[in-house]
Amino acid sequence: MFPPTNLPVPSEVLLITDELLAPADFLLHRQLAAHLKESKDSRCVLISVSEDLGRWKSVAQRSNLNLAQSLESQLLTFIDAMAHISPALDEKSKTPLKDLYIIILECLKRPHLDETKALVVLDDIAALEWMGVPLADILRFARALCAICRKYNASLIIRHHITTPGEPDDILRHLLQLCTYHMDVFSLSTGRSGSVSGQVALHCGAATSEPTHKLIPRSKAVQYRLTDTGSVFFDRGTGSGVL
Amino acid sequence: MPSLLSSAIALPVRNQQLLVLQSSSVQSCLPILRDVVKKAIERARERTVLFCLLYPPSSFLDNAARAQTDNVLVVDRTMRVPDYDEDPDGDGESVTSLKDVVLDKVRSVPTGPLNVVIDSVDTLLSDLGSISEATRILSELLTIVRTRGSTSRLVLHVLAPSPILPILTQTRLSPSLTHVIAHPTALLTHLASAYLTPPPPLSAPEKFWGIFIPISERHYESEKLVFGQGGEGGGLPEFVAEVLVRGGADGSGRRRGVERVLEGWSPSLGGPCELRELEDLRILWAKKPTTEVQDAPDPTQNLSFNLNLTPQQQRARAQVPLPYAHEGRPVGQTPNPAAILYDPDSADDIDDDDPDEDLDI
Repeated sequence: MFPPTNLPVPSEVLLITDELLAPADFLLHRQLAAHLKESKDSRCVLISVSEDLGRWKSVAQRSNLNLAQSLESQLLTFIDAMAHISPALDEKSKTPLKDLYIIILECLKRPHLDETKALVVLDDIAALEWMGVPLADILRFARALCAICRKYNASLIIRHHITTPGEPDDILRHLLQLCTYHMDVFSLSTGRSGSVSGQVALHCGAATSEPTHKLIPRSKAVQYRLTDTGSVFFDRGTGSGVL
Repeated sequence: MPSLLSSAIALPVRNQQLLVLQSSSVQSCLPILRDVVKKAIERARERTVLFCLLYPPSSFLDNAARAQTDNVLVVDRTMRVPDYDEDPDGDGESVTSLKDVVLDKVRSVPTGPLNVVIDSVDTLLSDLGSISEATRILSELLTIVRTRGSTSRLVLHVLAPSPILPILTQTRLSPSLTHVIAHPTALLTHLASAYLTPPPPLSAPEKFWGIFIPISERHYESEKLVFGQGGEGGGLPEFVAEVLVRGGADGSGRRRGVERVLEGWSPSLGGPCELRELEDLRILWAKKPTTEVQDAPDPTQNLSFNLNLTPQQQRARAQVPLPYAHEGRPVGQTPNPAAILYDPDSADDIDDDDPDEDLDI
């Protein structure tokens, strides 16, 4: 049964990595939908670097989720990261991501009922490096973000694009140390296929002592296929039964 | 033979006061660090100071363990990220305050055996911003630990590659050192298949170490094995631990030089184990069944027609004249013996003299 429910739980960090041939947008939309549908008080902070809100709204519409309503009721907060980073980059300030960090902190500090779960989604951290933010600042921002999500008992999802499969870059090396779980979306080794869009593996992060979810190594990765309404998961070799 | 790893974790050997645990992006050594902290806390007479700079304290001890024991002091600095501190005191403050916090906390512990654990020295380095500052702090910590008694220990965890790692392993910092490096099991299976060198005792130690050490130091090789095509993707629970012990004394008090062994770590087996007990490496130890040399299948067997000849048929065949021109008999003498006939043309300058006859050798 994939993807497992209760991933991530509050104060845990889920790292989702994807490749060019196997993007993980569907997983993010799925997690957002699952979180908002879980309870009518669940809050979400969505930080988007490259995508705009329209795309999120239209995909959420397909799973019967009205994001406009959530935005109005302040259950969903959409933060356009570039609006806060570009002025700092232009000024060449020492910490271009500080303003973004403060905005996220304000959203998390907002008073809420203790039982509601908060979800913070950062999509995506690789684009920050591509925009020209220095590596050291990105790593500190990631550390600080993980720390405040832990402090305010929010679950955190970070998406990272892998441009060189097989050769992890510095951001990925550090994110692997910070995350509790790592969901690895990668393409089939045999190339593109019409019926299978890609594969997903689940690993635990460096600091996770006892994983509560069953881990899936790459050799036994679950395959998925994107459909109009979402995605379908199946084990290798059982595609004919599902599709 | 007692496991070096388990003895390094469980009870600090006399004069082995520096323990360095090295992880990489492909394999984390944190399970060993967790075990070290757990065993240190269980020793009631000793006090432990645990600095959490990168990993949350819950990675090392659960809240129940924290509440039960009072001989552990957890300093949680995961929220104090430079430039992102919630209550900034000023730019230069955070640097000095980190050094002061570290040294003050350690000095404030009452007398007695002391274990100081730093969960991420590379984070300490990046927060301080200077290798010399970090080295100074570590030297001071080591000095404090040495004054506390022979079972006191400084335990450092580093994520390789890091510029501070060579400094930690130099004898200048500490002549005696226990260095544990975590490697993925994929590295050993790769060496066994691509280099035909399984780990000792299956192959000669000199040959193995000569191949293993350079490859293990090239991190991109291990990364490609684990994260590349055909890799399992990291985060595996079982791994290989390379244990290097330098200096110090063993049980009988004799000084030993440098010992380097490969041992395994398996959570299902309770921690340290031998290499052969790791699931992924079992195939290296499995005896290969002896395969007899298979002859190629004989096509002349089991046919529906007879390929053999009766004696009369053989005689008749022998009498058939063969259509060869010379029938094996040597041909008569050729009229011209073998020679090279050469007609020089106008551009040639043929000189029948020996060109070397004017040499006087």
